[in-house]
Parts: sequence; structure tokens; C-alpha cells
Amino acid sequence: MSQRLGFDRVSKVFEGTGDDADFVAFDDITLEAAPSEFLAVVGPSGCGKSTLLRMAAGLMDPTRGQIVLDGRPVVEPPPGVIYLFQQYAKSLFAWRTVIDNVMFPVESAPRARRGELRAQCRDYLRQVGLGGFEDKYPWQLSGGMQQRVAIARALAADPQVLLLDEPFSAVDALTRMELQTLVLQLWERRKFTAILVTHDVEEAIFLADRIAVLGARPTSLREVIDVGLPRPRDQFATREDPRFLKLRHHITTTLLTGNDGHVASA
Amino acid sequence: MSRRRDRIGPGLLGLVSPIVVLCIWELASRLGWTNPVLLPSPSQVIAALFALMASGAIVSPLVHTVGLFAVGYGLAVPIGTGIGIAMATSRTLYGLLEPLVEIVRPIPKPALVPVLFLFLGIGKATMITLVVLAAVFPVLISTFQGVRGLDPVLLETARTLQVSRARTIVSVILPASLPMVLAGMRVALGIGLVLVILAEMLAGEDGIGFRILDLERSFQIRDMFAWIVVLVALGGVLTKLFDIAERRLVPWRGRS
Amino acid sequence: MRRAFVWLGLAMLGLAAPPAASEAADLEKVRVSIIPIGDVAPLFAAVQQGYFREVGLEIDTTPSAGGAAGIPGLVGGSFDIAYGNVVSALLAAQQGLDVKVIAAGTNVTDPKLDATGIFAKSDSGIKSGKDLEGKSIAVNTRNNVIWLYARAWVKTTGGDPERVTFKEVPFPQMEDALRQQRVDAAFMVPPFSIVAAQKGGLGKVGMPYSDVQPGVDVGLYVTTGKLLTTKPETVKKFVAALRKGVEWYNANLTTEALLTLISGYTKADVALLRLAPVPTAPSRTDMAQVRKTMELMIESKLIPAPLDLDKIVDPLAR
Repeated sequence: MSQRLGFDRVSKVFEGTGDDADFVAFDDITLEAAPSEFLAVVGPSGCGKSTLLRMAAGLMDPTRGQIVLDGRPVVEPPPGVIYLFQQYAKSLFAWRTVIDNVMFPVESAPRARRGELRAQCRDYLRQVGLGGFEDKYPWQLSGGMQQRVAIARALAADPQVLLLDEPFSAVDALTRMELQTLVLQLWERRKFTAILVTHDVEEAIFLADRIAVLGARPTSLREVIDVGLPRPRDQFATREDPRFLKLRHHITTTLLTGNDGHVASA
Repeated sequence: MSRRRDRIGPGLLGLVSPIVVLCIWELASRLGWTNPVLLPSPSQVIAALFALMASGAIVSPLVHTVGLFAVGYGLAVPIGTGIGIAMATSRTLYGLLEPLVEIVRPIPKPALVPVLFLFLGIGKATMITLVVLAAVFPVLISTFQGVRGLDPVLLETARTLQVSRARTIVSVILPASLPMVLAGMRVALGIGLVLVILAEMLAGEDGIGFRILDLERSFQIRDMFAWIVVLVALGGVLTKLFDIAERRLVPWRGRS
Repeated sequence: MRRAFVWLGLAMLGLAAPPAASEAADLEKVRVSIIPIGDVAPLFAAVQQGYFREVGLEIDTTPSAGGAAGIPGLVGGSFDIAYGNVVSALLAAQQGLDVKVIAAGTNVTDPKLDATGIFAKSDSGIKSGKDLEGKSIAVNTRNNVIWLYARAWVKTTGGDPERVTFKEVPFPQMEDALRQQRVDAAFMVPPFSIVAAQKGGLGKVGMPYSDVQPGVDVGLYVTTGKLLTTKPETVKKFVAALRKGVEWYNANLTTEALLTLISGYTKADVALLRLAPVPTAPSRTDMAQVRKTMELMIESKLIPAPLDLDKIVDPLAR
């Protein structure tokens, strides 16, 4: 149903081309998401959090250390680990209808199961609020709706671990709230392990059980914080909880303060 | 009212220049400015064209040319698409095939005619090969660039969803690069038709190219021009059919 | 620096101009389209012997595949005179092109000396027109004298010309095409026919000209009616010098000089040319023969009705 995914002393160095020096994306990060846990990773822009997630998805190899999934090292994209891309629009297939996009992960199933799977995919679309949009094409949908299609497709792939790469950064604030609520609902229902990468501190606090705070240049793990807020989370009550505000204050100042203790100005 | 003008306007505008040219040509002929033997007037050419259609003499060469084109183009497209995808997805194949492609591609295909005659004789084999050689490269290059230019997110999506290499090529790469493939096919359409005519002139026994040469050899200029009109019309029809097919195949083109 | 080069270039142009101009003022240039075969040897002989220069003409030759290709160039203004075949000339006249015959080119009078012929590979088993049905024969262009008489020969030897494929192959390439089996037979003319016969492996299966119409006028020189009216003196001088070339040619049929000349512009092997007789050349067009060809064209449905030959063949040629 869900798996444990961890980063064991992971470092990533991008080799410099020509005269450029090697770029150390991050150095010696050890972090773990327990089964069914919702882990958020926050950090300043460009600190390599997406790279961390791509390695977890098996799309990239670490320079040192390894990614461990339920005790086994990740070499290739492992089944059951589903990646939600930041550019969701580009990850959808423009030539397929919405329902065919959602069906994509399960299309190689035997013919006998097709009807049942199609009905299931229709149900996923309904769960993400897109019931009735099965025969539309991605280009006919808004950004938020396209992201929902990507989420429905991820559901169809039966995720044990769901990796979310800044999934809501490109939509407006209201849509973001709706999608956050949706993801929480699905997570509570399906109980997959979730790792969310975001630069939005409030989003991290709202969604996660624990938050890993990364520091910049070279990126390292500054702190791992237990959120400790009660579930189910509510867009209003939770955000107005004084503990929420304290966490926000703490994490934000940590992020603004560089590794050398210097506080970055606005 | 203005909406309707917007739609009809550009279409009608496109007709203006050809009609003007035809009128000037007809006028020049009537006034005796042109040699009527070397440059018949549009009305004479149209008369010859109607005679051609009425007598049924238009059928056999037209069928021959369209048939030859269909075979050559029909072979070039899957070959070009296949090699293009292979070269774009496999480093080994790219390394092996790229030198060959880069050597053969720039050669003007008519220059290969004597060589083809030597190995394949003066006949159908040479003609088809000529058309295939000319039409395959635009398709190959476009397909290759289309696949290379695909957003990596698409391929990574397939990888994370555990899709096999074969299914990735068929279900993701091919449909995603279809706009580029079609662009190459469109260029190949024009080139292919030109080379069909050339092949018929050099090695054919029938067809529009053969007829044009034959009529030129016996100085029947009016009929020759009539066939040129048929050729222009054929090119126009093929292009229009291509447009329709393209719109059906890539309805998402230009919208995101 | 750049300015200096510009002046230098202009100076060089200035120096180059005067000599060329003075030479052009001496001789009138006549552009002639020819076919690189034995037929035009008298023309080249006349050039070599200086007969054209004597009358103030400079001949500029351009090769073509045949009259059917050269005549459009003539009418289009690229040439002043074209060497072509009688059939193409009559076809052109019938279509209203302004062509006039001004001199004879070649004919076939004595079957024993007819060096033209339809050749096939010795082991092909092709002996008649009937054997050629379903097969291919090379002609230099279609719709010309070669093509017409080949068809007539096929018919007289029992075959149906409609069931024979005629492929266009330039004369110099016919032997190769035949040996490499790109065509099953080829209607060849001297010097290539002479060379092919000497080399072995190929046999002459028929002589269309001698078999169908002995004495036929095959080739002739044409010009535009326009040139005849605007520059009649030039045309007269051309024909006169050409006739002298024909006389020299006929007097030197077996000399090394002539064979070297022919080998020069056709690239045929001199050694092989020595082994067979070179045909004679006519000085006048035979109207009776042209009339017979015209009748054959009508019979083959190449032209619908008789033409007024007196208007097409200028008195100069007769």
C-alpha cells in the first residue's frame, strides 16, 4: 500500500563544462519518509530540491550515496513511485482525451480488464472533480484542471509513493487551496507515502506531517521539524492556529538566514 | 457583417494575382505581343485541356503519375519516419547511420540517375527509387528533429509510469512528434511530385512527365501546356488533401 | 587597399576589352546546334579547313541529343542554325514553328554502305520486329526520324510497334545501354554503330533506312524563317562553306585526317573507325525523299495532312 523512501548520505555534483567549476547541488543529505507519511521539503529557489525528488523518482543518479526504497536501492524508476511534474501541462498527452490520459498507466493490462479499469479511471476523474470532462482535450482545460488530470492519472497508476514537485506553483491562490484540499483527501483515503517539494512555507505546514528545511549553497539539511498540527487539516482553522503561525515564523527566518548566519535582506 | 468579410477576404484576395496574370497573358496573346506557337494564350490552353478531358486521354497518364507517386511517397514516409525515430532514440544507430545520411542527402537526386540506370535499368525500379530517395530525407530530418525536440517531461512521464521502450515509441514519441513528422511529409510531397515527373521524363513509358516530353518532342506546345495545367492542379489537390488530413491528425496544433 | 584592387580590376578589364572587340569585328558568329554523330563531320571539316573563316563566319557549336531537342532551342533564339532530322523539322513546321530547311545533312543511298542499323546482343535471339514485342529499343529521342523508321521497320518485319517500348538514350550512350541490358535493342548511327560492330558481342539485326526507304534524306540543317529574311547573306555563306566541307569530306573518306576529325568531336576510337567504310554525304536535299518521309508520317498518324514542302525547304537546300 505504501513504502518507505529514504535518502542515505546523498550528494549530487554537476560537472562543470570547460572552465566552469563543478556545481555542488547538495552534499550529504540523509532524510527518510516513513510509510504513509506526508513529508514536505522546503528551501530557497535553486537549492536543488527538485533534483532531490528526481533522484527519488529514479530519473537521476546521485553522485554519492543512494536512494533507498523499502530497503532496496533505487536505480531505475521503480514501479509504484509516481512523479507529479511541475510542468503538468507538458506531462499530459495533448493528442489524447482526458480519460485516455488517465488510462495511460493501465493500458497494457489484459483486454478483459479494460472495461473495469476504464470505469475506475472515470471514478478517479470524479474524485478530482472532473466528472463529465472525460472526452475533452487537455488544451481545452484550465491550468488547475490540467493538474487535476495529472493527479487522476497518478491515482490510476496506483502510487505507493507520490512525489509532488512544486505542483501548485503555477496556479492562482484560490485554485491552489482547492488542489491542496484535494491532495489531502486523496492521501487520507489512499494512504500512500507523499513527498512534497515546495517553496511555499505555508503550503508545507498545511499539508505535511514533517518538514525538511534545506539551506542554500551548498545545500544541506538544516532542520527537520515535526508539524504536530491536528488532522483533518482545514484551510481556515489550521491556518489561523497559533502553532501554524509560529512554525511559519520559524521556518521562514531559517530560510532567510544563510548557512553563515547572515540574514538576507528583502 | 465584418466577421464574414474577415473570413472571405483572404480567400478572395488569393485569387486576384493569378487572375490578373492570366488576363495580362490573354491580352498579350490577342495583341500579338507573344509568339502564339511558343506561348499559347490561356484560352487556347484551356481549350486543349477540355479536349484532353473529353477524349479521355487524360486518364492513363494521370493514373500512372499518381500511382508512381503513391508508391514512392508511400515507401518514403515509413522509411523516413522509422529511420528518424531510430536515430533519435538510439545513440548507436545514430552513430552508424548519420554519416550515410549526411553523404547521400545533399546529393541532388537527378545526379544519381546514371548510377540508378546502371544498377536498376531504365524503368519502374529506377523511377520508384528516385522518388523514394528524394522524398525520404525531408521526412527523416523532420522526424529526427521532432523527436529530439520533444519535451523531456513527456519521456520522463513514460519512464516513471513504467512504460516499455516499444510502447514509449508508439504511444508517446510518435504521436508527440507527429506535427514535425507531418511538416517533413509536406515538404516531401512537393519534392516527390517533382521527381516523379522527372523520373517519367527520363525513364518512363507513360505518365504526365512522359507526355509532356513527348508533346515537346513533336512540338505540340498547346497540349504540352494543357498537361502542365493538369500537373499544377494535381499538386494543388494533393496539398489540399494533405491539409485536411493534417487537421484531422493533429487537432491540438497551435493550441495549448 | 580595397580601392586599389578596384582600380586594378578595372584597368585589367580595360586592357582585356580592346583585343576581343577587334577580333569580334572581323568574324560574324553563327551559333549551331549539332548532334555529336558522323552526320556533322562535313561541318567540322569545313571549320577545320577554314571555309567558314574565308567567308567571314565563326561557327560556335553546341551539342544536343537530337533535332527534337535542338529545334526548340533554335526557335527560342539560343541558336541560329540547328542540325536536326527530317521528321522533327516537318513536325515543327506542321505545328506552326518558323523553321526552314537550308541544307542537306545526311542520307542513306547505298544499302551496302549503310552504317546505321538496329543492333542487339548476339545471343539475344532478336532477329525481327516481332521479336521486339514486349521489349525495349533505344532511340536518341522519340517522335523523330530514328523513332519513325524504327517503328516502320518493326512493322515490316512482322511486329506491332505499339507493343514495343521506345526508350530515349543519347547516341553516345547507346552501346553501353545495350551491353548492360538496359535496353534490348538500339538504333545506332555512325560512328557509334561502326565502333559497336567492330567490338563484337553485338549484331546488326536490321537496317530501317535501307529496308524501309532506300535513299532517305535523314538529316538536314534548319534555321528560322526570321533569320532567312533578316540575314540572307549569312545563311547563303553558311550553306556555301558547308558545301565545300561536304566536298572535302567526300574526297577524304578513308583518310586519317577525316577519321581523326570524327574521333575528335565524337570521342569514338579511331582504330575501330578505320575498319569500316564511312558513308558519303549529300550536298543537296532530295525533295522526292522528303515527300516519301512525309507520307510515312501521315501513315503513322504523326501529322494529319500533307505539308507544303516548297515553303518549308528553301531553294538554298535543293
